[in-house]
Parts: sequence; structure tokens; C-alpha cells
Amino acid sequence: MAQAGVKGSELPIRGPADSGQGASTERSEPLPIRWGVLSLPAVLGLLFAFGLPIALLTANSLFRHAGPGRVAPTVTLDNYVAFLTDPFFLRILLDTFVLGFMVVSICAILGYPVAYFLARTRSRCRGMMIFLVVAPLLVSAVIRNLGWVPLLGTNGFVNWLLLLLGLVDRPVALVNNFVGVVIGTSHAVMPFMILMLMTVIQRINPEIEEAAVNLGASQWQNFWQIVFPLSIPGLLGGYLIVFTITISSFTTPAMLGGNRVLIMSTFISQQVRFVLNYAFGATCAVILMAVAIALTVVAVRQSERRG
Amino acid sequence: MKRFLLATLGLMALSWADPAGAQQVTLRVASYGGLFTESQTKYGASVFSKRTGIKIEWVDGNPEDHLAKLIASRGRAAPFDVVYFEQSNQIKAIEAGLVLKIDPKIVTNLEHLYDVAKNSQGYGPAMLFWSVGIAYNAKALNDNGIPEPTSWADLWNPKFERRLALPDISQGTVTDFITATAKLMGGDERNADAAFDKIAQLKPLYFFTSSSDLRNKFLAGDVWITVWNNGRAWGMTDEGFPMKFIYPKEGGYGKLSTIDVVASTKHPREAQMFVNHILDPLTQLGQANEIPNGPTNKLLAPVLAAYPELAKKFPASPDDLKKLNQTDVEVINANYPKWVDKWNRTVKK
Repeated sequence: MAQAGVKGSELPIRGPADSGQGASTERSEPLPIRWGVLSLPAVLGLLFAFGLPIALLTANSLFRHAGPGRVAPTVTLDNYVAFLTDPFFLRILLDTFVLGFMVVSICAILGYPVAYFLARTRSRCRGMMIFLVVAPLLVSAVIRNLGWVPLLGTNGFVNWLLLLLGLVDRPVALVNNFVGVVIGTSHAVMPFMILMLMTVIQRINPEIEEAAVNLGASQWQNFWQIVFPLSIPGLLGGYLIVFTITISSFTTPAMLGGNRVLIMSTFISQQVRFVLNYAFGATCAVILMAVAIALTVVAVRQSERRG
Repeated sequence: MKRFLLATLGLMALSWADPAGAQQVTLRVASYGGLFTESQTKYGASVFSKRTGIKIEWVDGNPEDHLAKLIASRGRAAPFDVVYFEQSNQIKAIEAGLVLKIDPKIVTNLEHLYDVAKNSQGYGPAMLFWSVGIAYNAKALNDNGIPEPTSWADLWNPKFERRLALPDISQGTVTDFITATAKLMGGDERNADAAFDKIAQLKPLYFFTSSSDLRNKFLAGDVWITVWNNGRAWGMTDEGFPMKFIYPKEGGYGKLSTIDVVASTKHPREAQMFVNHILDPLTQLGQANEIPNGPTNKLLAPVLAAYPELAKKFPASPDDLKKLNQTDVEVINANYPKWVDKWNRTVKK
């Protein structure tokens, strides 16, 4: 997650306003070596805090399950074969990505107008508005989800409203299922998408838009032919962060999924905590990580090609 | 500066050598959380701390989580010193060498326990008898013209769609529900395959992992009926909620909660003193009065005989337990990984 975040911010976010040249001269200057030395503690810390546990996890996945929380010391690929040859497990992986793409789409569609407004507004309240956007991140996931339950429940506010407006004739299941997980997760990760898009849109010179309009472009053309293409790096950055957080999230699927939503995180938790099959849990975790890394690489390549 | 450093070092050395640190023992006890832990504080921990000066810190969670933590902490410091288990968890913990045998010289209440409550190998005894049955909001059912359930099969009434809550596959009570369903289908815990497709026909609101959360959903009117334990169900009845707890005509399920001392504890003596206190008649009676679970101390038999209104809320004796079904816990443990897989493939989808 953290790595994706760093990469996201390194995406070549360059609007025409930057004139391109400033950025390239900055890059051509080689950094003094002592700055590299200064990053050593962080690199060592990451190796210890991330590298080592991931190595141990991967090691666990290569052994055979031998009783609760134990593995037998025979190296085998059986766990991987078991996962990759069973359509049921592959379905769990697919559902995880479906969740990721749904959340990314919702965040992009709902977040874009907000990001555009925040990037362009000159209101004195802009700081306050940005704070409101970030506010969901200040609340713990547990509290945030507990807030959703009375809103989305059978007798909750949303169902009350839907019934009142006559849009439905009986309460709709909005929580304790996949829908609830999508709603809760989208809410949680929306700030990342908005901030990412806002930063990029801010760098698009408003004069370009004005020029387009002056030359007779409709608002529609202005958006789709000028603003949107220039904001794609922000969308890609937002996608990276939102997608990786979503496919690895556990609290929200566990709390709003009613224990019937089986995605990789809830499945891994079940294998490790209740079935006590560390080997298979580790295998699932490694597979999820590998696919997430692959998708990240694709997204970064894409944005580099555009840059 | 040098003097300051020396003084600091000296203080540190003193604090290491200070025997007072050894006197002030804090026991961490893994309990079930919520109202149960509250009642354990009231009748267990507070009196115990006053008597002995030993502090109690609760670690709340489901017994399955306690077991997972113990297993994960193998070879390292104990995450807690005493743990409340269900029988099935205790068996796994004993097999993995994670709990200690109990010394009857410290746990003197052991001799007053019913035989069925004592562990045959000398590990932690049962501290509570309880049971699994059907709990329902009688008012909600009557208001909606639904007859009150008398059989496990009544859970399949289509009117309970999204008003029914079922235990998640991670919960101990789910094994009783699967067994009960298997019996409806002509099987039992040894032959439960047909149960999963049958359970998959149900349309529950959700699968619960927390009794406190389920209680809230009953209070909010979201859930009308569930498969629950007697203690939490009767607890709501006692609060004035229109909750009824019944054993279906095919029978409810008798259960035992155990109390165990963690093998890697630094305070085995103090931990066993606490175990003894929890098995004390007064502690058990207080507990039974607050959240109705059956005491395992037979000294309480005359008290319970004098208060049938209290005793009817739980299995109050080995005879009461015998009237209920009991699953073969060894078979359940052996089948559990397979059951989880079946549950994932049929029920969760």
C-alpha cells in the first residue's frame, strides 16, 4: 500500500503549465550520493518491517499444512496447485478484483466533479472543504463502518427514504452483502481518489480551457478533449492507490459483508484464524500480492508511456 | 551531564532489582467480551483482586480467536495467562501443548465440581454449563402472524427471510446448528454433507460473529430469530425484551465452557488461584444470576433447587445436560476444516 502511494505520487504529472522543461532539468541533475546514504535507515527499516515478514510468509506457503498452525518441513508447490486449479478459489480472487474495479469506478465517477471543483474554486472555504474530503480518514474504520449500519440496515435511513419515495415496495438489502462492502469501501478510499485528481487538475492551466471555449468548444468538448485527457495521470494514480487499498482491505468487508462476502482478505483471515491452515493462508496472500504487483506495474507503465 | 547519566543508570538498575515488581502481579484473562466480561468483572475479578492484590486485565474475543492467538504466539511470551474456551477449542489447545494441568492443591474447588465438569486428563475444568437452542423475538413473530418455532425445521419458514441470523462458520455454536440440520436430513455430525445444501436454502440477514452485535440487531428489530446460547438469550429476556429461548422438539445442544491456564504463563500459581476463584460457589452464582449459565460447582445444587425460576434458564446439573443432545467434539474437530470448505462453497455465495 505504502509503496503504491509513493509510486502514485511519482507519476509524471505534467500539465502544459509546467512547460515540461523545468521537470526535465531537475531530473538530469544527479543527486549527490550523501542523500542516498540518508535514505539508508528507511531502506533498512522497510527491509526489516516488510521484507522479512513477506519472506517468512512466502516460506510458509511453500510447505505442507501439518496440523493447527504448523507446517511440515517438506518444500512443495501443492498449495499453489490447489489454489490455481480450483475454480472456486479463482472465483474468490476474481470477486476481489471485481470489488476493486467497482470501488475504483465509483470513486472516479463521484470523486471527479468534487476534485474538479476543489481544483478550480477560489472560495475562501477551500481549505475547509478539503478538510471535509479528508475527514473520513480521520475516523477509525470500525467507527466509520458502525456508522453505516444504521443508515443501510433493513429499518435504516436509506430504506426509510426509498420506501417513503415509493422507489421500492420492501426494504432493500444494502448491508451484510457485497453491496454493503462496495458502499463502505468506496466511502473509505474516496479521499485518495479526490486528492490525487485534484492535484493533477490544478496543474492543468485554466487558460487552456478558456482558449478552447473561446475557439468555440462546447463545455462537453472542453471536458472530454482538454481536461479529461490531461487528468488521466491523476486517474491512474488514484486507481493505483484505491485499487490496492480495496483488494487488501479487511475491516470493511468483515463488518459490512455479514460474513457472507468471500474475498481474498476475508478468506485468508478464515484460513489463518479458524482453520489454522497457515500454509494455505500464506499461499493466498502471496498470490494476491503477486497479482496486485502485476497490476501496479501495468498502471505505472501506462502512465510512463503517456508521460 | 555525567552525573545525570550515572543517576539514571543507577535508577534503572534499582528498578530491575526491585522486588516490588514481582509482588504486583497482573493476570491477563482471555474472556468472551461484552456483558459476559462485565459480569466476570463484577463477581470474579473485583473480589479476587481485593482478596489477593492480583490485578486482572481482560482480553476480549471469541474462544476461537483466543486459540488462534495462542497458536500464533508459540515459542514467545504468552498473550494472556488464563483463557476461557469451549470444549472443542480446549481439545485443540491440549493437543498443541498450549495449556497446563491444574493442581488440585491450589484449585481446591475442583473437588466440589460435578464429575462431568472435570477434565479426565487433569487440564482446566468446565466452569459453565450452557446450551444452544432457538431464540426469537416473540412479539415480532406474533405481530407478523408467524407461529412460534417448535422444531429446528421451523427456521426454514420463508417469512424469516432477512429476519434470521445464523452463527458464522467461525463460531463454535455453528457446529451444533450444522449437526441439528444434518439430523433433519437423516444424518448426524459424522455424516453432515446434506446439511450444507439445506442451510444454503436459508436467507439470513447475516452470519454473526459477535453476541453483542446480534443483541443490538434484536433491539433494533432487524433480527427476529436466531440460533443462540441460552445465556445471552435469557439475559435479554431478563432485561424485559420479548425474547424467548426454546429447545426445539428434536432437542437443544448441551455445551461446556472451560477455564484453562496458558502453558507459557509466568504466573502459573496466581493463574490457578484465579481459576479457583472463578469456580467458587459465590462467583458462579453471581455469574448465573447475571447472564444465566449453569454453575459447575455442585455445592450450589440446593440453592438452584430453591430457585427453579433461575435454574430453568440453563442446564443446572449433569442430569439437565443429559436431556440435551451433545455433539461428539472429537468428530467435530476432525471434520471442521472440511465443514468450513463446504460452508464456503455452498452457504457463502
